Amino acid sequence: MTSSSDAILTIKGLNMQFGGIKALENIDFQVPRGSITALIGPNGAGKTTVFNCLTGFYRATSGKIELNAHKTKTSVTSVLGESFKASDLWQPVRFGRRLYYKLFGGSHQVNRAGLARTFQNIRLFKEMTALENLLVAQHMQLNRSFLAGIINTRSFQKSEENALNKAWYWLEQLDLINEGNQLAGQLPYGKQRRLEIARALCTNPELLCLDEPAAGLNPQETAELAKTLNTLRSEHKLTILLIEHDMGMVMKISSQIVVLDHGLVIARGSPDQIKNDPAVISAYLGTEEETGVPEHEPALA
Amino acid sequence: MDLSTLLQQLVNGLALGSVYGLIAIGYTMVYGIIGMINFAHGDVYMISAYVTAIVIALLTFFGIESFPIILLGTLFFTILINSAYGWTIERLAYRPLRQSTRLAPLISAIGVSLVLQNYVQISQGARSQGVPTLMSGSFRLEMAEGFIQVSYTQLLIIVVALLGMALLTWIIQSTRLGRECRATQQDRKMAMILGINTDRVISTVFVIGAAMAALAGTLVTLNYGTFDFYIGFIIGIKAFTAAVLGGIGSLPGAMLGGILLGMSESLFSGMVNTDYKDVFAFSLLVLIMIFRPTGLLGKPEVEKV
Amino acid sequence: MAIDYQYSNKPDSLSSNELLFRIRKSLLDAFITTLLALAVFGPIVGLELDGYDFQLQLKSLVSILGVIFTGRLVASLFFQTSQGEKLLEKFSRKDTSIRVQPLNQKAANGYWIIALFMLAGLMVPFLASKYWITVIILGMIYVLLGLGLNIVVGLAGLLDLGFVAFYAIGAYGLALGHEYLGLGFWSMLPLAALLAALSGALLGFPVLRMHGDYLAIVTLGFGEIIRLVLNNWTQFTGGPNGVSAPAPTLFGLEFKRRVKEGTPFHEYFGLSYDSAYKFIFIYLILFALVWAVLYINHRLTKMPVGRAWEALREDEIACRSLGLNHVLVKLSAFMTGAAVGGIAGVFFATYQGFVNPTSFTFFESALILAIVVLGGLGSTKGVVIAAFVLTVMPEVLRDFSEYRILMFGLLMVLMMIWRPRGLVRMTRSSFQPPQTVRQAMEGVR
Repeated sequence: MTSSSDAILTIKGLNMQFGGIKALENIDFQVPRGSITALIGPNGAGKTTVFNCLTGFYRATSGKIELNAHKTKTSVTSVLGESFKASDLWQPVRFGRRLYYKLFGGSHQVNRAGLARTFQNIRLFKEMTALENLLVAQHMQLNRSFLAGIINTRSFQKSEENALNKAWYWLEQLDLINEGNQLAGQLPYGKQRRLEIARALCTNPELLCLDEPAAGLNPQETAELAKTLNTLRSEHKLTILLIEHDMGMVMKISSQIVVLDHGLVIARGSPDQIKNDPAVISAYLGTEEETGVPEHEPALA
Repeated sequence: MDLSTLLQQLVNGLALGSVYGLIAIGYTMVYGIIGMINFAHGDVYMISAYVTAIVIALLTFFGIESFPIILLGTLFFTILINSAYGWTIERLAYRPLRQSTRLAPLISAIGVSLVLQNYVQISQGARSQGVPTLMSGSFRLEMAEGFIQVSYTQLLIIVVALLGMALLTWIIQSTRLGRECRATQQDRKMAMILGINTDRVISTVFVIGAAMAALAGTLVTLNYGTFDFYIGFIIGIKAFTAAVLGGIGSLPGAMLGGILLGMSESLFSGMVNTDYKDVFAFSLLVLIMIFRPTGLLGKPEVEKV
Repeated sequence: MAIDYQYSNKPDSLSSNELLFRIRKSLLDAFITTLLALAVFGPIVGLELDGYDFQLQLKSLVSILGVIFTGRLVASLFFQTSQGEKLLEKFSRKDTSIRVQPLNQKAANGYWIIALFMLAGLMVPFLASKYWITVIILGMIYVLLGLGLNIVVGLAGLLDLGFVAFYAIGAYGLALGHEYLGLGFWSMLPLAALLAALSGALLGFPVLRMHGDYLAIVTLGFGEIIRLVLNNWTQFTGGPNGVSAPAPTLFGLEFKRRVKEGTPFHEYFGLSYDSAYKFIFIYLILFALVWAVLYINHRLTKMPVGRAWEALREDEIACRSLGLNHVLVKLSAFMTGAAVGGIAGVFFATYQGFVNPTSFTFFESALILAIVVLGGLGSTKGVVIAAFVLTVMPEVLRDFSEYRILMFGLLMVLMMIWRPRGLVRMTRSSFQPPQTVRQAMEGVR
């Protein structure tokens, strides 16, 4: 485990229950700043549930999720809006904060705190162009004044121009410059995946969470993706957390791997440690097998 | 307000609420199975009122005077014809839109609602219509101060509504058809893979909803006597309110919601103001949506990310 | 299906046996359909209630059934032929009907057309009769309503079935503001927009956080609440009798024949009194306002907020993951739409001279929705055309007014089946890449 002082994301005692089913139990792990951390595990282990909890799409039943980005510490559970407590009566500041998050909180606040994500089943704005997708992602950084936009003031034009430049920049980084003016829904699958990453990057995140980014890509595209992720980490100082089934890629690029099984963290460590961890091997292959780690786990998501 | 008036209002509310409950079933089942608000459902109810009057007129024309036969005959024909409406509407206006945008079926439903209203208006005239009083008389319960009066038709409404509910619950819980319905509601794609003809199941749900609305339409028409082509609109929103109150997608919820709405509405009109009873019901809808969108018996919706 | 089509679709190789079989099948199809139609139409069309009695309307029933039988038969036979199958395939194909405007092709002659329309529109009040001016005013009011609802339904993808409530708030705002506060047309115009937007916010904020479809029914209820309150609160709103609404003034000049103080418009300019002046004036203000709203609408689609609306329509979850507060974004659409509806209401009140609750029924909401749907959900041009067609046509074809709503309903259903995105093709704007990127693009090639 890494020291807690430089963790961009700290998850402590995370529990998630759907009705009577315990999907996650006491999940603990940290994502060190500047790392590529992979979250792996067999199908149904709860990886996407963890993702949805820490990106604010699910409200965790209990536990702490703390994001330390943009120089502030944000508790993901509290920006989603917690229920009021009796003690709020004599703590007006806390009451006010709770009321604010109750009214205006939600998963969008998590993004604003510096975390961007992609989805397992790509969620692009299919009937908008690739560029427009990236412009929407910059919504919070733009001049949103009604009046300025309608009169088309100088500052408004400037803000739009900056947004376009940034959009083109990320298109270039992800090798999509020829697709800028095409409808997102009409792009080939691999390019849609990349566009979704570009769109997430347009929100200026410090932590990028990718849900099975290599699913459905061919080996060559996967290799390129691995290269891109490495570049993002080294040149753009991003931290990356990913769920992935492609063990080849995971072992190659991750600096830390967290293994989930049946809603529990069964192992944490460097790729080499994980490769030889008996608990991981038995989770993937059953208890009898002792030899090696599967190179490819069939991605049946 | 004394006790007897209060009880009287509650009894009236129970009868009214049973009707809301029966109509709410159509909303709740359709919403449960294809996640769509069938705006035309209130107008299907309106059709049943017309069919009831027409069948009664036909039966009296053929010289049938016995009340039980008229009642059974009317119920039979109204349910039959309304089911045909339910099936046809689903087949023509909703099924082609299964893969369309989210808004499309809703807009189509509004279109169907307009068509039904205008079509009845054209063929039956805009004036309000009525049926003769076939069953009069009432029970009277004397109390310490005042009395409670329960008319036979009110009693009929409550009993038939409960019977209809019981039958439907049995169908859904214990028959093969019911099992298919529940499976389709849980996961349509999986049900399809397992060999269930989900299109047919959805059609059946529309037919069941229309049949229940027919039951309500016949009973209400026998009780109140008059109706016009516009009645479906208001009662439709109210029945939807009942469905939401009970928890949309839940069958017992629809009945519970119906009865609660009926009772609170009749208490409101008895104690506060009759003019604003519709305003009260609609405000209730807005308030439930805000404070308890899952209703009383509904399950919270888990967003699929 | 495709394989089937390959093998069975050779008309010349069709044996007479097979042909007979097909005809029999089509006949059976038509017969079953007609039987169903008999159940559906039989009682309602065939037996007209007359008191507690009924009258047989065999003629209309038989003609409906006849049309259905032949229609089904012909369709069934036709769709078995090769042309029919081709047509069927063409209809079932997914047509996205959205295209991106090519980079170097900008709307060059668009300005000419706009200028032409502006000029023609400005001439109308001086050439047309008073009757036609009023008809066109009504048309323009519906253009405003359509544009307002288009923001909500077309752009943001929120189904608002109580839009008439905001229209009513605007109209009654003018009438009651004049009655109780002595406010005139010009002060009520912005106030009504504000009032409508505020009530939209009050209703929308709690409801918009919920599942999208609920909004439809809540707004439906809200529209009805407003109408019922207007109808029942007799002391304040005048109940079913309504209230009178003031006409607009030109820098304080009134358009009445006689005024209590000051001089009326015609005397000031030395003209003889004509009741058409008031309508010409309303026409001109409304005309300017419609263009302003059209321009704002055009700008909105190029602004962050407009893009956010469309993105929200496409995928709410993705929007949230990008830091957009979906509730506030939806609310901004809802409020903007409501404000436009409120403005339309002010014009309606001043045009009619009085308002009463019968103008604000659910049918009105449905009509506005029909305008937006037929105009093509999101297309401004389409909304303008549809608004005029749906409001002016009934004036021309008065004989068919009875069937008007039936037609709207049918069109709504058919449009959703055939073209859920509307009649007009959507065009998305494209952006010129910056210099550096262009060089890189050429390098790639």
